[in-house]
Amino acid sequence: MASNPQTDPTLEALVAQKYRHGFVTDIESDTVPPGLDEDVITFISRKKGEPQFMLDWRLRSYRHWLTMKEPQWAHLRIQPIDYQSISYYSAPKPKADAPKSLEEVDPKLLETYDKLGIPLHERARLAGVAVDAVFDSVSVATTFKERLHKAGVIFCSFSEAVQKYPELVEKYLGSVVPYTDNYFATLNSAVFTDGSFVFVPKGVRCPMELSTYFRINAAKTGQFERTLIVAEEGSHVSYLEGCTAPMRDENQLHAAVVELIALEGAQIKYSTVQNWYPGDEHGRGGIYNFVTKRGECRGANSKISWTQVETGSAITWKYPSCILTGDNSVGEFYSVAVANNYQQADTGTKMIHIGKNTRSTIVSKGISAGHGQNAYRGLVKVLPSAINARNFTQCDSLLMGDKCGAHTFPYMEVRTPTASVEHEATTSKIGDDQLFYCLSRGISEEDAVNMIVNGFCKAVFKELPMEFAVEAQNLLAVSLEGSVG
Amino acid sequence: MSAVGAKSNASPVDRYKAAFDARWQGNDELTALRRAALDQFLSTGFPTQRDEAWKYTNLRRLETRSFTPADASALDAHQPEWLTTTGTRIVLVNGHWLPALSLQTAQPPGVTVLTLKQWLQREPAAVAAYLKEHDQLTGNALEQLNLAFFEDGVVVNLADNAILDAPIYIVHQSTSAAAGCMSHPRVMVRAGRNSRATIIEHYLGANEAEYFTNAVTRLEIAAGGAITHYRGQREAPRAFHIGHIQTKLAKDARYSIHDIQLGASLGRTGITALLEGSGAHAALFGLFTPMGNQHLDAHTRIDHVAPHTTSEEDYRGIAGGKGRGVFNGKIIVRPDAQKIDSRQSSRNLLLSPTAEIDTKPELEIYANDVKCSHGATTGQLDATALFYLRSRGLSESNARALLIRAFAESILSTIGLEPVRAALEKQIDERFKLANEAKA
Amino acid sequence: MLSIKNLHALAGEKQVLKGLDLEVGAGEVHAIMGPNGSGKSTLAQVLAGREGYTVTDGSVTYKGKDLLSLAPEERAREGVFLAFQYPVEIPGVNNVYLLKAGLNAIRKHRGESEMDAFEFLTLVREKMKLMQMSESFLNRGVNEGFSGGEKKRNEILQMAVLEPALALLDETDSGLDIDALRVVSNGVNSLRSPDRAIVLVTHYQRLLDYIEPDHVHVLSDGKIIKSGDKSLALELEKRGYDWVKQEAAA
Repeated sequence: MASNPQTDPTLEALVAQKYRHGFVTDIESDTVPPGLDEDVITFISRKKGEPQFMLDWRLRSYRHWLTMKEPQWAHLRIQPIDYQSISYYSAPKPKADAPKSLEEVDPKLLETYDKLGIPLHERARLAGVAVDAVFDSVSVATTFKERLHKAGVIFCSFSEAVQKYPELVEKYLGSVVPYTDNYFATLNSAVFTDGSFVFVPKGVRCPMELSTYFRINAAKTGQFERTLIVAEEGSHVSYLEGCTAPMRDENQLHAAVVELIALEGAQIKYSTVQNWYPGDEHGRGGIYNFVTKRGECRGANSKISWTQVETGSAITWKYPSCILTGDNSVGEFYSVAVANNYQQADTGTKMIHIGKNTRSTIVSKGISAGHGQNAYRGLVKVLPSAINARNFTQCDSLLMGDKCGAHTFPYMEVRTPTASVEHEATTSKIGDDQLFYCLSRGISEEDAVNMIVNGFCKAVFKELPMEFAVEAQNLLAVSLEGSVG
Repeated sequence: MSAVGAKSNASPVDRYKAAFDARWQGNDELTALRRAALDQFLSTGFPTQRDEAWKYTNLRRLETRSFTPADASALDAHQPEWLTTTGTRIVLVNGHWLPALSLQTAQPPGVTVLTLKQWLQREPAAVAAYLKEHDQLTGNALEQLNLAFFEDGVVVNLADNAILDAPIYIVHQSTSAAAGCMSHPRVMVRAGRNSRATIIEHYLGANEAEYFTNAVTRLEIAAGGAITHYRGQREAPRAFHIGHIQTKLAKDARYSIHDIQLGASLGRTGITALLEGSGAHAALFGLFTPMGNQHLDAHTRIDHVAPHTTSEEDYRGIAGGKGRGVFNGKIIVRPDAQKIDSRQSSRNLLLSPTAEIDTKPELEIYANDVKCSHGATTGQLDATALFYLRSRGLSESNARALLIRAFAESILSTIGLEPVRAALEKQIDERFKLANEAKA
Repeated sequence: MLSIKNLHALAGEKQVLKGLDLEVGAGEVHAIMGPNGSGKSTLAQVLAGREGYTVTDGSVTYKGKDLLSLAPEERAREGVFLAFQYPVEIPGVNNVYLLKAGLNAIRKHRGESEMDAFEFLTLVREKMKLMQMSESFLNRGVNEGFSGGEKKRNEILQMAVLEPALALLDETDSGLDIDALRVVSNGVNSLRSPDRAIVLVTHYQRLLDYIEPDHVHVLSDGKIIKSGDKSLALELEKRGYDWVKQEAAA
């Protein structure tokens, strides 16, 4: 007879698997002292040589933030955050000024990205993926600029965009996530330091996958990046972000904002593989990942698709959303979220149907292990104008171990009779009969669990770009190693 | 709004305090209990939409009214029909027992049926002890309000192994004399081991009065006991109706509730089933049909406290006119409550472009060896089915009414008691044929 | 190859096997028949190592090893294969992936090199032809949305690929129409070899028209009460089980 998986000592040992990206890069950085006031914001803006409208916008956001209350969540256990103890700007100290090409980037940095397995260098060329890398708060290198430039695609750091394309930034920044949106988005609007900017002009199909890697390195810093993607009429773009952070005992705050705008007939595919440091097996340390991501299908027949694989962070709080304004527009959300050890994930989406014949699909797969708590929270709202709107939601939770939790909180608000909204959810553990079937075919218990979990997530993984689907599967295996229950 | 008058400037909590002081003085144990409950209500006030449990139901309109405790009255000339059932019938008019209308049949051994007032007269200390144990400092602000103001109701006691074949029919009738008044009836059922009974609660009103019914029902079912509970809400069109039902189930106990909401301007039932012993099973079936300007809310909570417990839930909503329907059903599986099987389904039909349905089915699971699922849909009548019926010669309005009836049927068919089911089927048919003709 | 002595086992808390003895040699095909509830499926599950079945007495020796001390995956790697009566669906897990993972785990255990994708696909395609299965099977989830007959074919395909030394077929014929039965039987027959033993658990004689057994055993109330050659199966078909029971009781 097979031993009881819950008490298998080899599996217990495997649970102790360490976070594989938890190294610190020894690099000189240019960091402002902790604390936040208008001077710090002005310093950030000046440091980045921003035009006046940006500084004004930041200060407006900051003043609004001061009037807001930090949200309280029923389902998250959270240490209070001292916003004055965070350093709001940390940049790797450049050897000269900004690196002009990859050759000038600090080799230690490149080494860091190598360790992370990011195809920043030559490998990037082979992989055919254009990469922007954000280290702490500053974008350090963007590859493949030339080729993208020829196609008319702008892909650069947010700082560069503010300098070179201020009119585009001014036009679109805050147009989907206003600076008043929520506590963390407002804070981000005041202090964000860098991020990525993508602009795909009318009719252009972006010739390659675009990708940004984010890494928090310095201690006691927060990361507040901002991403803005604009796809003009009939254009297509696929974008991927990856995130890692070193192991530290204290919690670090990551409060990003992502805005997507799809004009008529445009398609944006946004994929995330989030592997911020989740804290140790006792729940010490880890990133607080409070992110606001929202896209607007502004034009008719446009499409925005979010795919996320969330394995990291002590707390994840994010709801990548779609505002379906254009008629016939399509919103999609595919998510795998893992909460192991003491991780807490509260994630989901909002689909706001405004235009006629708008359609949305939500597929959420939550995996809870250890003492992890995983919640799906989603809103499907169909306004009276959204005639013939369609939504389908499938929301499944898998429980591995008897100390974890899986929660499902869907909200469906329907105000038009021609709409059709369907939601299905299940919660269960891995079936004993499935496990036994695999074992009886000679497969080890660990492999069998991996197989079944990957199968459980397949509907989401198949939405990821090929090269990242493999990465996501490996990441999932590492995150759950030994958590057989 | 006769009672609003001069006092309308006072804050709502002050108005309730004044109403309380006018009704109850003294320092006996029960009054102290009432006062504590009132204080708790006053400190929190009416729930607001910031409160997650009331996200979709706004009580502002109720809050601005001032209601005073209702008194008994004679029936109106025009009365909605009561059900014809065998067995005991207890009639409460505006929250007060009217013996002349009630039918007390001889109860089989082990069964006691009393009005709450009778129980209060006989054993005031026991009532206070019961309320202390079950109600003090539990529940929401409105349950506390009931505890502060309750005057009458029904108490059912089933001894171990008592089997009651005929249902106990409780009529809560509101008359036109209830205008500007509130009533806080209570029904308390204690079912002993392996006992069986059926309870019907019927809330009725058919007049122009604006009144407020704030009803509490408490059931305790001991090991192996089984209670079937029918709850029909057909209050008058301008009424407010809030019902709170809490059922505790011991080992192998079974409970099923059939919660039908048709009436009131603003209606809500909140049902909590606590599965405290292994083998316990709860089944919740509900139908709510907001039409016109009605707002009907069904709020349920099934709490799997003990391992090896099961539940099923099926709710359907039909919204037409400017009606708004809300379903919020939560299933909780407590830590270490393993081997749970729970299914929940919420299906909703929208009949008009100005109607709205908000659904929130929730799962909160803290144990791993469970099978829990929920499904929710909102949509319109199936166009293919409608076409099929019309191509067989039915008028569009008849075809629609037939399909609506078919949609409601899956809830109505769970009703085993023939007179209850027949009456409801008739009401549903009347309701939707009318609605469709008015539309055409 | 397989030696079962005085096997007593519980299914859940119920005593189902009550002293079963069975000897199976290499190259032999045994059919175990019996009425419903006699313990046929329990025997198959116990031999494969399913949780929820407890051996209370007796022993099972397979190739000189104590089979009961091995985990289910170890039994598989040692060459024991169970074709399930009710193969489970595993959504999202690719059929071909499961097969490859199983085969390579078994090969590794035997000290053989893992098969690369090309070799493996060649092998699987050849076996699929035998089972008259279409290529599309490969890309579907394990048994996901398969009909009853497809599931059974898939079981025999797995068996053909994994090439076990001891194959246990639990009611493989149930739910099959006559064409599917022929295909499945052909698959099984093609695996008959001097170093392989096959144990068929079945309720009906029908399967034995296609797969000819060397030995037929009647299982009743947890024990083998009569053994014989294939003529015994024919007799059972004609006369039912009662006469065997009476004979055994006498």
